[in-house]
Amino acid sequence: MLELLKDDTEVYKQFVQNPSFKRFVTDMVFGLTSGSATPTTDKRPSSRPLRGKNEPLEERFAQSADPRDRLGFVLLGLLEKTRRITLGDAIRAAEKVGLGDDDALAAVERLARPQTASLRRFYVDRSGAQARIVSAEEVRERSAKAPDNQHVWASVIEVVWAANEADAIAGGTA
Amino acid sequence: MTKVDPDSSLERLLGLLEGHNSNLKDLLLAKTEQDFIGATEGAIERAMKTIENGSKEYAALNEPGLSHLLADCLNLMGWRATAETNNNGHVDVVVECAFGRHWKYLGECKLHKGYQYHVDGCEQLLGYSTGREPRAFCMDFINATDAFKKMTKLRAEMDEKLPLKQKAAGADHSIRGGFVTSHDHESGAVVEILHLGCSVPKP
Repeated sequence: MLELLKDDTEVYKQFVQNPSFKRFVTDMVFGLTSGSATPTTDKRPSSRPLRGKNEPLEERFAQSADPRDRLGFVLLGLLEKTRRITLGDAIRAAEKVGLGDDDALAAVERLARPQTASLRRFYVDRSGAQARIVSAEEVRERSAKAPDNQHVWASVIEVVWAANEADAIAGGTA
Repeated sequence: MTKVDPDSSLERLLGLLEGHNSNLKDLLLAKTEQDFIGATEGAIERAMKTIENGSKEYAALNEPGLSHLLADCLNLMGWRATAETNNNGHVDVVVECAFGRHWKYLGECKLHKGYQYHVDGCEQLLGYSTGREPRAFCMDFINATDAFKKMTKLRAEMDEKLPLKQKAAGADHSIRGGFVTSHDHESGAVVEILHLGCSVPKP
Protein backbone atom coordinates (compact mmCIF):
# COMPACT_ATOMS: atom_id res chain seq x y z
CA MET A 1 0.00 0.00 0.00
CA LEU A 2 2.79 2.44 0.98
CA GLU A 3 4.57 1.62 -2.26
CA LEU A 4 1.44 2.54 -4.18
CA LEU A 5 0.83 5.76 -2.33
CA LYS A 6 4.28 7.24 -1.77
CA ASP A 7 4.33 9.16 -5.08
CA ASP A 8 1.32 11.15 -4.09
CA THR A 9 2.07 12.86 -0.83
CA GLU A 10 -1.36 14.41 -0.45
CA VAL A 11 -3.11 11.09 -0.91
CA TYR A 12 -0.64 9.47 1.46
CA LYS A 13 -1.20 12.25 4.01
CA GLN A 14 -4.93 11.72 3.80
CA PHE A 15 -4.45 7.96 4.07
CA VAL A 16 -2.47 8.36 7.26
CA GLN A 17 -4.40 11.21 8.86
CA ASN A 18 -7.97 10.58 7.80
CA PRO A 19 -9.39 7.29 9.16
CA SER A 20 -12.45 7.57 6.92
CA PHE A 21 -10.30 7.89 3.80
CA LYS A 22 -8.06 5.06 4.96
CA ARG A 23 -11.08 2.80 5.39
CA PHE A 24 -12.41 3.80 1.96
CA VAL A 25 -9.08 3.03 0.22
CA THR A 26 -8.64 -0.21 2.12
CA ASP A 27 -12.15 -1.34 1.22
CA MET A 28 -11.71 -0.28 -2.39
CA VAL A 29 -8.45 -2.21 -2.71
CA PHE A 30 -10.07 -5.20 -1.06
CA GLY A 31 -13.02 -4.88 -3.42
CA LEU A 32 -10.77 -4.69 -6.48
CA THR A 33 -8.61 -7.61 -5.45
CA SER A 34 -11.61 -9.74 -4.50
CA GLY A 35 -13.44 -9.09 -7.77
CA SER A 36 -15.83 -6.39 -6.58
CA ALA A 37 -15.03 -2.69 -6.72
CA THR A 38 -17.75 -1.89 -4.24
CA PRO A 39 -16.56 -0.41 -0.95
CA THR A 40 -18.18 -2.31 1.87
CA THR A 41 -18.44 0.42 4.48
CA ASP A 42 -21.21 2.97 4.73
CA LYS A 43 -18.90 5.92 5.32
CA ARG A 44 -17.37 7.83 2.46
CA PRO A 45 -14.18 9.87 2.80
CA SER A 46 -14.95 13.43 3.78
CA SER A 47 -11.74 14.61 2.17
CA ARG A 48 -12.57 13.62 -1.42
CA PRO A 49 -11.66 16.57 -3.65
CA LEU A 50 -14.90 18.09 -4.89
CA ARG A 51 -15.16 20.14 -8.03
CA GLY A 52 -17.74 21.75 -10.27
CA LYS A 53 -20.96 23.67 -9.82
CA ASN A 54 -22.58 20.90 -7.79
CA GLU A 55 -19.86 20.94 -5.15
CA PRO A 56 -22.06 21.75 -2.10
CA LEU A 57 -24.59 19.17 -3.26
CA GLU A 58 -21.85 16.58 -3.78
CA GLU A 59 -20.57 17.22 -0.29
CA ARG A 60 -24.05 16.87 1.22
CA PHE A 61 -24.74 13.67 -0.71
CA ALA A 62 -21.31 12.19 0.03
CA GLN A 63 -21.84 12.62 3.76
CA SER A 64 -25.49 11.56 3.82
CA ALA A 65 -26.56 8.47 5.73
CA ASP A 66 -29.12 7.78 3.01
CA PRO A 67 -27.79 5.27 0.44
CA ARG A 68 -29.87 6.91 -2.34
CA ASP A 69 -28.14 10.23 -1.66
CA ARG A 70 -24.76 8.52 -1.77
CA LEU A 71 -25.72 6.95 -5.08
CA GLY A 72 -26.62 10.47 -6.19
CA PHE A 73 -23.05 11.46 -5.31
CA VAL A 74 -21.73 8.77 -7.66
CA LEU A 75 -24.13 9.92 -10.39
CA LEU A 76 -23.04 13.54 -9.98
CA GLY A 77 -19.48 12.40 -10.66
CA LEU A 78 -20.67 10.74 -13.85
CA LEU A 79 -22.64 13.84 -14.80
CA GLU A 80 -19.51 15.95 -14.45
CA LYS A 81 -17.74 13.73 -16.97
CA THR A 82 -20.51 13.03 -19.49
CA ARG A 83 -23.09 15.83 -18.87
CA ARG A 84 -25.89 13.24 -19.02
CA ILE A 85 -27.10 10.24 -17.04
CA THR A 86 -29.04 7.43 -18.70
CA LEU A 87 -31.37 5.10 -16.86
CA GLY A 88 -28.85 2.34 -17.60
CA ASP A 89 -26.03 4.39 -16.05
CA ALA A 90 -28.08 4.78 -12.88
CA ILE A 91 -29.02 1.08 -12.75
CA ARG A 92 -25.40 -0.03 -13.18
CA ALA A 93 -24.13 2.48 -10.61
CA ALA A 94 -26.74 1.20 -8.16
CA GLU A 95 -25.75 -2.42 -8.79
CA LYS A 96 -22.11 -1.59 -7.99
CA VAL A 97 -23.04 -0.35 -4.53
CA GLY A 98 -25.49 -3.16 -3.84
CA LEU A 99 -28.67 -1.17 -4.51
CA GLY A 100 -31.62 -2.05 -6.75
CA ASP A 101 -33.28 -0.61 -9.84
CA ASP A 102 -35.79 1.26 -7.67
CA ASP A 103 -32.98 2.99 -5.81
CA ALA A 104 -31.39 3.89 -9.14
CA LEU A 105 -34.52 5.62 -10.39
CA ALA A 106 -35.21 7.32 -7.04
CA ALA A 107 -31.61 8.56 -6.79
CA VAL A 108 -31.51 10.05 -10.28
CA GLU A 109 -34.94 11.66 -9.75
CA ARG A 110 -33.56 13.32 -6.63
CA LEU A 111 -31.08 15.06 -8.93
CA ALA A 112 -34.03 16.44 -10.88
CA ARG A 113 -35.28 18.53 -7.96
CA PRO A 114 -34.95 22.31 -8.14
CA GLN A 115 -32.79 22.46 -5.01
CA THR A 116 -30.41 19.77 -6.24
CA ALA A 117 -28.97 19.52 -9.75
CA SER A 118 -32.19 20.62 -11.53
CA LEU A 119 -31.78 17.94 -14.15
CA ARG A 120 -34.66 17.19 -16.49
CA ARG A 121 -35.82 13.84 -17.76
CA PHE A 122 -35.69 13.55 -21.54
CA TYR A 123 -36.89 10.88 -23.95
CA VAL A 124 -34.60 10.58 -26.98
CA ASP A 125 -35.88 8.74 -30.04
CA ARG A 126 -32.89 7.03 -31.64
CA SER A 127 -34.80 5.11 -34.31
CA GLY A 128 -33.97 7.56 -37.10
CA ALA A 129 -30.78 8.81 -38.70
CA GLN A 130 -30.95 11.80 -36.40
CA ALA A 131 -31.89 11.58 -32.73
CA ARG A 132 -34.87 13.66 -31.64
CA ILE A 133 -36.46 14.59 -28.33
CA VAL A 134 -39.88 13.04 -27.78
CA SER A 135 -42.23 15.11 -25.62
CA ALA A 136 -43.56 13.69 -22.37
CA GLU A 137 -47.06 14.21 -23.77
CA GLU A 138 -46.27 11.98 -26.77
CA VAL A 139 -44.84 9.33 -24.44
CA ARG A 140 -48.03 9.49 -22.36
CA GLU A 141 -50.33 9.22 -25.37
CA ARG A 142 -48.45 6.35 -26.99
CA SER A 143 -48.02 4.47 -23.72
CA ALA A 144 -51.70 4.89 -22.83
CA LYS A 145 -52.86 3.59 -26.19
CA ALA A 146 -50.84 0.40 -25.65
CA PRO A 147 -50.62 -0.53 -29.31
CA ASP A 148 -49.29 -3.91 -30.32
CA ASN A 149 -45.98 -2.40 -31.36
CA GLN A 150 -45.40 -0.50 -28.08
CA HIS A 151 -42.58 -2.86 -27.19
CA VAL A 152 -40.76 -1.98 -30.41
CA TRP A 153 -41.40 1.73 -30.05
CA ALA A 154 -40.43 2.00 -26.37
CA SER A 155 -37.25 -0.01 -26.91
CA VAL A 156 -35.75 2.65 -29.22
CA ILE A 157 -36.52 5.56 -26.89
CA GLU A 158 -33.63 6.35 -24.57
CA VAL A 159 -34.37 7.77 -21.10
CA VAL A 160 -31.81 10.41 -20.14
CA TRP A 161 -31.43 13.03 -17.40
CA ALA A 162 -29.53 16.16 -18.41
CA ALA A 163 -29.58 19.93 -17.96
CA ASN A 164 -30.75 20.60 -21.50
CA GLU A 165 -31.81 18.95 -24.77
CA ALA A 166 -28.40 19.27 -26.40
CA ASP A 167 -26.71 17.36 -23.59
CA ALA A 168 -29.50 14.78 -23.59
CA ILE A 169 -29.13 14.06 -27.30
CA ALA A 170 -25.33 14.15 -27.36
CA GLY A 171 -23.45 10.92 -26.87
CA GLY A 172 -25.67 8.15 -28.07
CA THR A 173 -25.71 4.74 -26.49
CA ALA A 174 -24.69 1.11 -26.59
CA MET B 1 -30.43 4.23 -36.13
CA THR B 2 -28.47 3.91 -32.88
CA LYS B 3 -29.12 0.90 -30.74
CA VAL B 4 -30.47 1.80 -27.33
CA ASP B 5 -29.10 0.08 -24.25
CA PRO B 6 -32.10 -1.98 -22.99
CA ASP B 7 -31.49 -0.75 -19.43
CA SER B 8 -31.76 2.85 -20.67
CA SER B 9 -34.90 2.34 -22.74
CA LEU B 10 -38.37 3.71 -22.14
CA GLU B 11 -39.54 0.11 -22.12
CA ARG B 12 -37.39 -0.49 -19.03
CA LEU B 13 -38.65 2.69 -17.36
CA LEU B 14 -42.30 1.79 -17.96
CA GLY B 15 -41.62 -1.70 -16.61
CA LEU B 16 -40.12 -0.21 -13.45
CA LEU B 17 -43.05 2.14 -12.94
CA GLU B 18 -45.63 -0.61 -13.56
CA GLY B 19 -43.86 -2.75 -10.98
CA HIS B 20 -44.77 -0.11 -8.37
CA ASN B 21 -48.10 0.96 -9.78
CA SER B 22 -50.46 -1.50 -11.37
CA ASN B 23 -52.76 1.47 -12.01
CA LEU B 24 -50.21 3.43 -14.04
CA LYS B 25 -52.69 3.46 -16.89
CA ASP B 26 -55.17 5.42 -14.71
CA LEU B 27 -52.62 8.20 -14.58
CA LEU B 28 -51.72 7.98 -18.26
CA LEU B 29 -55.39 7.99 -19.26
CA ALA B 30 -56.51 10.78 -16.89
CA LYS B 31 -58.59 13.21 -18.93
CA THR B 32 -59.75 15.60 -16.23
CA GLU B 33 -58.24 17.14 -13.13
CA GLN B 34 -60.63 15.04 -11.03
CA ASP B 35 -59.25 11.88 -12.69
CA PHE B 36 -55.75 13.12 -11.88
CA ILE B 37 -56.66 13.83 -8.24
CA GLY B 38 -58.21 10.37 -7.88
CA ALA B 39 -55.16 8.64 -9.37
CA THR B 40 -52.77 10.74 -7.26
CA GLU B 41 -54.61 10.03 -4.02
CA GLY B 42 -54.45 6.32 -4.83
CA ALA B 43 -50.69 6.68 -5.22
CA ILE B 44 -50.35 8.69 -2.01
CA GLU B 45 -52.23 5.96 -0.13
CA ARG B 46 -49.92 3.29 -1.57
CA ALA B 47 -46.89 5.41 -0.63
CA MET B 48 -48.19 5.84 2.92
CA LYS B 49 -48.62 2.07 3.23
CA THR B 50 -45.07 1.53 1.98
CA ILE B 51 -43.74 3.96 4.60
CA GLU B 52 -45.92 2.47 7.36
CA ASN B 53 -44.84 -1.07 6.47
CA GLY B 54 -41.21 0.00 6.79
CA SER B 55 -41.82 2.19 9.82
CA LYS B 56 -39.20 0.36 11.92
CA GLU B 57 -36.61 1.36 9.37
CA TYR B 58 -37.97 4.82 8.68
CA ALA B 59 -38.94 6.01 12.19
CA ALA B 60 -35.46 7.45 12.66
CA LEU B 61 -35.90 9.79 9.69
CA ASN B 62 -36.66 13.44 10.30
CA GLU B 63 -39.30 15.57 8.54
CA PRO B 64 -37.30 16.12 5.31
CA GLY B 65 -36.16 12.48 5.25
CA LEU B 66 -39.72 11.15 5.48
CA SER B 67 -40.93 13.66 2.91
CA HIS B 68 -38.16 12.70 0.48
CA LEU B 69 -39.19 9.09 0.96
CA LEU B 70 -42.79 9.96 0.09
CA ALA B 71 -41.55 11.80 -3.01
CA ASP B 72 -39.37 8.81 -3.96
CA CYS B 73 -42.38 6.48 -3.72
CA LEU B 74 -44.45 8.76 -5.96
CA ASN B 75 -41.59 9.11 -8.46
CA LEU B 76 -41.40 5.32 -8.66
CA MET B 77 -45.10 5.17 -9.50
CA GLY B 78 -45.08 7.54 -12.49
CA TRP B 79 -45.47 10.91 -10.83
CA ARG B 80 -42.95 13.69 -10.63
CA ALA B 81 -42.74 14.68 -7.00
CA THR B 82 -40.43 17.13 -5.28
CA ALA B 83 -40.06 17.71 -1.55
CA GLU B 84 -38.32 20.89 -0.42
CA THR B 85 -37.96 22.16 3.11
CA ASN B 86 -39.46 25.64 3.46
CA ASN B 87 -38.53 28.47 5.79
CA ASN B 88 -40.90 27.31 8.50
CA GLY B 89 -39.31 23.90 8.67
CA HIS B 90 -42.27 22.14 7.05
CA VAL B 91 -41.76 20.41 3.74
CA ASP B 92 -43.49 21.57 0.59
CA VAL B 93 -44.42 18.75 -1.73
CA VAL B 94 -45.38 19.27 -5.36
CA VAL B 95 -46.83 16.30 -7.22
CA GLU B 96 -47.31 16.35 -11.00
CA CYS B 97 -47.83 13.74 -13.68
CA ALA B 98 -44.41 12.77 -15.06
CA PHE B 99 -45.92 12.43 -18.51
CA GLY B 100 -46.86 15.84 -19.74
CA ARG B 101 -50.00 16.99 -17.97
CA HIS B 102 -50.12 20.39 -16.30
CA TRP B 103 -52.10 19.52 -13.19
CA LYS B 104 -50.46 19.90 -9.82
CA TYR B 105 -51.31 18.45 -6.43
CA LEU B 106 -49.64 20.50 -3.68
CA GLY B 107 -48.85 19.13 -0.26
CA GLU B 108 -47.26 19.81 3.07
CA CYS B 109 -45.53 17.19 5.21
CA LYS B 110 -44.51 17.42 8.84
CA LEU B 111 -44.14 15.52 12.05
CA HIS B 112 -47.33 15.44 14.11
CA LYS B 113 -47.16 17.94 16.95
CA GLY B 114 -50.83 18.55 17.61
CA TYR B 115 -53.60 20.80 16.35
CA GLN B 116 -51.84 24.17 16.08
CA TYR B 117 -48.78 22.80 14.29
CA HIS B 118 -51.04 21.06 11.80
CA VAL B 119 -53.09 24.23 11.21
CA ASP B 120 -49.85 26.20 10.70
CA GLY B 121 -48.93 23.69 8.00
CA CYS B 122 -52.35 24.11 6.37
CA GLU B 123 -51.93 27.89 6.45
CA GLN B 124 -48.60 27.55 4.70
CA LEU B 125 -50.21 25.27 2.15
CA LEU B 126 -53.06 27.69 1.42
CA GLY B 127 -50.45 30.46 1.19
CA TYR B 128 -48.60 28.91 -1.69
CA SER B 129 -51.71 27.57 -3.39
CA THR B 130 -52.88 29.89 -6.18
CA GLY B 131 -56.50 28.82 -5.85
CA ARG B 132 -56.36 27.08 -9.23
CA GLU B 133 -55.64 23.70 -7.68
CA PRO B 134 -58.91 22.43 -6.25
CA ARG B 135 -57.32 20.20 -3.61
CA ALA B 136 -54.09 19.97 -1.60
CA PHE B 137 -52.95 17.58 1.12
CA CYS B 138 -51.43 18.04 4.55
CA MET B 139 -49.73 14.92 5.86
CA ASP B 140 -48.66 14.38 9.46
CA PHE B 141 -46.06 11.73 10.22
CA ILE B 142 -47.24 10.38 13.55
CA ASN B 143 -44.69 8.85 15.87
CA ALA B 144 -47.25 6.73 17.73
CA THR B 145 -49.37 3.63 17.25
CA ASP B 146 -52.69 5.46 17.80
CA ALA B 147 -52.51 7.48 14.59
CA PHE B 148 -56.22 7.12 13.78
CA LYS B 149 -57.18 8.38 17.25
CA LYS B 150 -54.94 11.38 16.80
CA MET B 151 -56.50 12.15 13.41
CA THR B 152 -60.01 11.84 14.90
CA LYS B 153 -59.05 14.29 17.65
CA LEU B 154 -57.53 16.66 15.10
CA ARG B 155 -60.68 16.52 12.98
CA ALA B 156 -62.92 17.22 16.00
CA GLU B 157 -60.84 20.25 16.98
CA MET B 158 -60.88 21.61 13.42
CA ASP B 159 -64.65 21.13 13.21
CA GLU B 160 -65.04 23.01 16.48
CA LYS B 161 -62.72 25.93 15.68
CA LEU B 162 -63.12 26.09 11.87
CA PRO B 163 -59.64 27.57 11.32
CA LEU B 164 -58.43 29.22 8.10
CA LYS B 165 -61.95 30.07 6.92
CA GLN B 166 -63.00 26.43 7.05
CA LYS B 167 -66.51 26.38 5.63
CA ALA B 168 -68.00 23.37 7.40
CA ALA B 169 -67.22 20.23 9.33
CA GLY B 170 -64.73 17.88 7.66
CA ALA B 171 -65.90 15.10 5.36
CA ASP B 172 -64.82 11.47 5.31
CA HIS B 173 -62.22 10.30 2.81
CA SER B 174 -61.56 6.83 1.46
CA ILE B 175 -58.02 6.84 2.91
CA ARG B 176 -58.38 5.51 6.43
CA GLY B 177 -57.92 8.21 9.06
CA GLY B 178 -58.06 10.93 6.41
CA PHE B 179 -60.65 13.68 6.10
CA VAL B 180 -61.31 16.63 3.80
CA THR B 181 -62.03 20.24 4.75
CA SER B 182 -63.03 23.13 2.48
CA HIS B 183 -61.55 26.61 2.88
CA ASP B 184 -62.27 30.00 1.37
CA HIS B 185 -59.07 30.97 -0.41
CA GLU B 186 -57.98 34.60 -0.83
CA SER B 187 -58.26 34.14 -4.61
CA GLY B 188 -62.01 33.73 -4.19
CA ALA B 189 -61.87 30.01 -4.89
CA VAL B 190 -62.69 27.25 -2.45
CA VAL B 191 -59.69 25.00 -1.81
CA GLU B 192 -60.07 21.56 -0.26
CA ILE B 193 -57.43 20.13 2.05
CA LEU B 194 -57.04 16.39 2.47
CA HIS B 195 -55.67 15.75 5.96
CA LEU B 196 -53.63 12.56 6.29
CA GLY B 197 -51.86 10.75 9.11
CA CYS B 198 -49.00 8.39 8.33
CA SER B 199 -48.04 6.18 11.26
CA VAL B 200 -44.29 5.83 11.84
CA PRO B 201 -43.94 4.73 15.48
CA LYS B 202 -40.44 4.35 16.85
CA PRO B 203 -39.79 0.69 17.74
